[in-house]
Amino acid sequence: MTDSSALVHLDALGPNGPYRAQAKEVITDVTGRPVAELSMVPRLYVRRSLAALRRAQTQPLDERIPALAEAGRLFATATLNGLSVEQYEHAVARVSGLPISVVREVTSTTATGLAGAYGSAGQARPRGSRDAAHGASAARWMRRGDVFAVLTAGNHPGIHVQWAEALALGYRVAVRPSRREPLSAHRLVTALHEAGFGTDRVILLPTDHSVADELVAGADLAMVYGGDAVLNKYRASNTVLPHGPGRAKILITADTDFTRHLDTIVDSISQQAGAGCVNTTAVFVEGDPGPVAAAVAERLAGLPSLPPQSSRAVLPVWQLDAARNLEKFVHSQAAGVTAWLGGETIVAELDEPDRGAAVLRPAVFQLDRADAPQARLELPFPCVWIAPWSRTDGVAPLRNTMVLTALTSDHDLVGHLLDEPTIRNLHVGDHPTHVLVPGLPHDGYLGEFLMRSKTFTNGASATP
Amino acid sequence: MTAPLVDVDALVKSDQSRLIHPHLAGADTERIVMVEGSGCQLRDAHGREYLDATGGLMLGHVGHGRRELVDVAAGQMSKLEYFSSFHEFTNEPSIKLASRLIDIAPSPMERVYFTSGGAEAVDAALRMARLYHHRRGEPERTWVLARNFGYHGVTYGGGAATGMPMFHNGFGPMLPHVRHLTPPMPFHPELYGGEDPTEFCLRELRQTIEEIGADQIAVMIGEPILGAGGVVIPPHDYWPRVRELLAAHGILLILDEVITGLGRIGHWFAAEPMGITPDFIVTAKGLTSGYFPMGALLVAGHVADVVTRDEGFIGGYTYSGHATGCAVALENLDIIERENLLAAAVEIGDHLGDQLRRLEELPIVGQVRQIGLMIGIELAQDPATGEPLSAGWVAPLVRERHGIIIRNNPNTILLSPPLVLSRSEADQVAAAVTDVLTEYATTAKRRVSAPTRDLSVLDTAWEQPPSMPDLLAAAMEWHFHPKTGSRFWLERAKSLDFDPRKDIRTEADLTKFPNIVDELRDVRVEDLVPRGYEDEQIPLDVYESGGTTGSPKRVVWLPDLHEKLCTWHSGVLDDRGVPRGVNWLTIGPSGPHIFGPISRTLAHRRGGVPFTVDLDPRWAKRCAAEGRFEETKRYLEHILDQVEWILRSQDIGVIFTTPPLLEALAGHEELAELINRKVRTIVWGGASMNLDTRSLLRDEVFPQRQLLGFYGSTMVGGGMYERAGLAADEPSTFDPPHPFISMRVIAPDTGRLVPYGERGQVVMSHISRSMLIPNNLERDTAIRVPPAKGFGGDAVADIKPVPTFGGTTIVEGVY
Repeated sequence: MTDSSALVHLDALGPNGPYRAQAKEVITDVTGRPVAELSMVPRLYVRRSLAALRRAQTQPLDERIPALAEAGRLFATATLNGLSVEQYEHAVARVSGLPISVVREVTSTTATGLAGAYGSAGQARPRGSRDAAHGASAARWMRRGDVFAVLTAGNHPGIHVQWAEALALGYRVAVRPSRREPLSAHRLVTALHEAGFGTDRVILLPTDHSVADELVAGADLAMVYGGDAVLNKYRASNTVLPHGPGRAKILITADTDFTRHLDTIVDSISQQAGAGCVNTTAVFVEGDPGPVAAAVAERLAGLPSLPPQSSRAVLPVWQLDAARNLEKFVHSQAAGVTAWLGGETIVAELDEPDRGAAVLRPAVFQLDRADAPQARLELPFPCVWIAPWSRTDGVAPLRNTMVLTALTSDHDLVGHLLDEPTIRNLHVGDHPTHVLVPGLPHDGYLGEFLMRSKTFTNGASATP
Repeated sequence: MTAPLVDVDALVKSDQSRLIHPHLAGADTERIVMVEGSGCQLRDAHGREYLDATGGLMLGHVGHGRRELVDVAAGQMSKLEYFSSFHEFTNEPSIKLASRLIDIAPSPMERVYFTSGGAEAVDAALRMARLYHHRRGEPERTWVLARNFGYHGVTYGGGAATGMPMFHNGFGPMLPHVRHLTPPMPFHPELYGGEDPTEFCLRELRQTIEEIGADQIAVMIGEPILGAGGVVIPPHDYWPRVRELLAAHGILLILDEVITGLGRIGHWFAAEPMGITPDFIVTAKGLTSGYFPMGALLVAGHVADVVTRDEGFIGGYTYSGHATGCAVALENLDIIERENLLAAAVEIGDHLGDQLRRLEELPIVGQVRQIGLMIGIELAQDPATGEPLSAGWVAPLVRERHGIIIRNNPNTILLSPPLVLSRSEADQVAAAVTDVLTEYATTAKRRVSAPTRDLSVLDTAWEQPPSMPDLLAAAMEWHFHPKTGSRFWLERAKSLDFDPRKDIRTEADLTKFPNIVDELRDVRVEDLVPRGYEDEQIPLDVYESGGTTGSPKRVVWLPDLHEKLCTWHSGVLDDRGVPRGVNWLTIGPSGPHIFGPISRTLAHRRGGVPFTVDLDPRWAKRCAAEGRFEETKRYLEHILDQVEWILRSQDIGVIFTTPPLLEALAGHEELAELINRKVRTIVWGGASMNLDTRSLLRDEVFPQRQLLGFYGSTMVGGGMYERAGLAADEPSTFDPPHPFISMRVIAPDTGRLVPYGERGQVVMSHISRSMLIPNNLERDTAIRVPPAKGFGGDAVADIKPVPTFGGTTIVEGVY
């Protein structure tokens, strides 16, 4: 475990190596106790770092692939920046409030994800394109630029695997870590450097919001995580890929006995501590939603309230004040609807040594119509809105969904759902919304954004 | 009376070294050692006799030297001098006094809480008001509404409610959640913008309740008649309407009757004749006439029921319900009743008031206000406009000449004699005050033609600064004399509650001025020119702020200021080794902004050619505020293109620009290389720069160049350079050209200076012949630091913009 008296120094990792700024932000754990000090770089540092990335050469493919695998191994096993993997996982759990079992799982998936990053990225490649010289005339799959910036989120450490695909495809990458949980991004960039990626090929630039815009503007392409405001800001951009709330949903039609799928429903809501963008936010029930709500509430009510470092923890933990504020917000949104769980409180305060922290308990609310605005409310803990749905409601309430699990045997309906462009992933049957299928897209393939096909003919090589 | 045999000189010396007197200037060595009193007469240790027209501090109702009170006190002390009134303990005098007070108090007063004085009773009332709401399930009702010019003591509770800045300045944060409102002062219509004062005040009260939220407000406190604020009697419908409005929102009312209560205005309490039904009445002074320090809080039944239930009202004072004090108070009330002093207050008060009202014919008397034996004589430079005249000189003169003790607030003479004042004594008081004011009025009339003070200090070069008091004395005379002051300031002076020509002597006094920054958005610039310049043909320039905080503010720029300022600038640049004989490139806002013209003059003066790349900061900020980042980026590229053309083709020795533009130059590799090759000095100023950026610029981007920071403000007509020799981890620190430009760093919520080393909001002042901008709240925060050797006033370090200013979001990073 980390020495609680010593703060972890999270330096910026720039083109010339670690950079410790005068401006630092203190990262606290769920009780409010300081855990780390994050160096915050100024705008000028960002500009100069991006210029250095632009000057650097892309690492050859045959170096990148093993380096990514090695970085994954280091991430999951090595002592990096003074933290063993156990110390890192403990610190992330304490800072993010995610159960340590979730963090451990992500450590493992990050390692495998990095090893397979190139293959995963290649899933997006159009059938006619090649990503290497191949014959005299071909469609070549080429990068759209050289420098890729990522403004990461802090809700889940698993998101970092995604931007590693850009490295695999030959981009130089600048990562702005979340100030809420910067440890994972810092560890990953450190691992990449240790594994052989030059410090001018992947960099970590902690900054405040105003400078982060500079990072996006200065890169060729960027990927940004955030809420609806971020989505709206970059919706029209073809150089910025925004990732917003997932608003994952489950649809249960009248031909389905929901009791046979209760595990799928409950897991979709509560696995990963309910903090992911793929956790179910709303369940639509053809018929009376009451029995579904009652059954889900009964199951979720039994989840234990434990500190995040407990190996049995399954629920997220926040600082108490923030938890109380969130509770106030949830209850304001739930005014007038039926609360099956969490109507009185969603906050369970922890005792010493975790005083000051609180578990966010699950909440289950029943809505009276499918188009109720609460059905679009995504919250960072197991909170679900269960609404009635009818054929006359149609696809409309199900739109703008990252993942939809349809518990139905209605093939026509499935066809309509598949055709709906704003439902980005569709599972039919017992497939929890939070379970990603390796090799299949999460929110489209990142490669679709990073690359494009280009005609390349080479008369010389065509000559026998 | 006989003078006691005491060594007066030894007493005075000991007093000077051992006692701290309230409201006594440090340099004031005068002491009057009072030794005896009888009725309204007092005698000092030298045997000199005085007529007390103040009642000490508006008390002494039954007069000095009352044997009955001495006997009662001695009798009670010999039986039971004191025992605690906490918990279940009590005593007979306090029980009787409480009943007596409720008998004479207006409905709905039911219960009494005893204190050692008025301020403690005010604090108790505030606590009870909040507790009342808390126990009734509205704990968020914590706000207290009070009034400007109101006086409620100087404890931190009462002091926060007191609406006089002098009791807040320098004392750190006051009680939070206190909002001061405008009281009705019919003699000052200028405060109400042409609106009826009562209507204005009621509208303001309604708006305040709306703004804060009725469900957040606990109580309003006010004196029925402003006492220390100048004996201001409100229109008859003011308090009843206030009460009605408060009641409609569940807000309690504390009536502070410390001065008006127990006979001063001819009634036991002012509440009754003024038609007010408060929830609390605070009383003190007249309760014992000063024979025992004591106050009482009278509490309405419905409030008392709540605050006494459950665990009761927590918190009391050691001397609450003091047996001797209560016995004295009972006898004091008996004397007031027995000697019919309520009627006497009206009769003698009216008699005195009739004589004093004749003073309104004098050109220095604005208004005489009298109710019972509570009188205020407000002085004015010009009674027609109400322009205030300091009253500080009157009391010492009346005492010296006539042996009569009176008091004053900044511009009002205050009379509040014991209620036993005789008709002949009243005549003496009236004659003395009339004599002194009449003489002054006659003399003053002869003096109004031109400033008499030596104003040459205003022409001192900025490199050889005068002392702040000397500069202030001359500047106040110049800017506020009818012959020389600007129309803006002469008009503004009418609503000041002090006389700048007399009351502004130190840098701290500048805080008396309101922040006029918003008025500079709309003012006619011609009105800013001091009339003293009028005979000269002066080419005027006008400069504007960057528009960060709303529509632009404007200052008028006179050639003498430009000359002095640029001379000072150039001297500092010489001291700092900035080369002469080189060309300047200024990259920043010219146009209506001061940035360009100053650097143009400096380039000329230092033997170089001025090149300029202009910038419209308002456009850049608008683009940034509206999220049009692409436009901002293209505009920046457009500026950098122009810089590149100049740098490639011309010899440039000095660049003067802003931190964001300097950052942009530094991020542009070709330009940075050009600068490193050609430029010797880079002066950055106009916005904040953080330590990390400064280190990068110094150590990595421009390692061989001289970087010199500058911090200033268009609104105060100038600025200052970064202190030399700062280490990498020391933030940029700036020493102003004191006293012409001075700075304070304050806590924005209280307006008080922060301690050295702490961050607060920057307040700048500019004092010169052509410009007076006192107490200007800047949009920056900074750390307050002591001045460098050879500089005066405070310095500031680590400038950062405030996130919002007057409700406007500050857009930084583009200019």
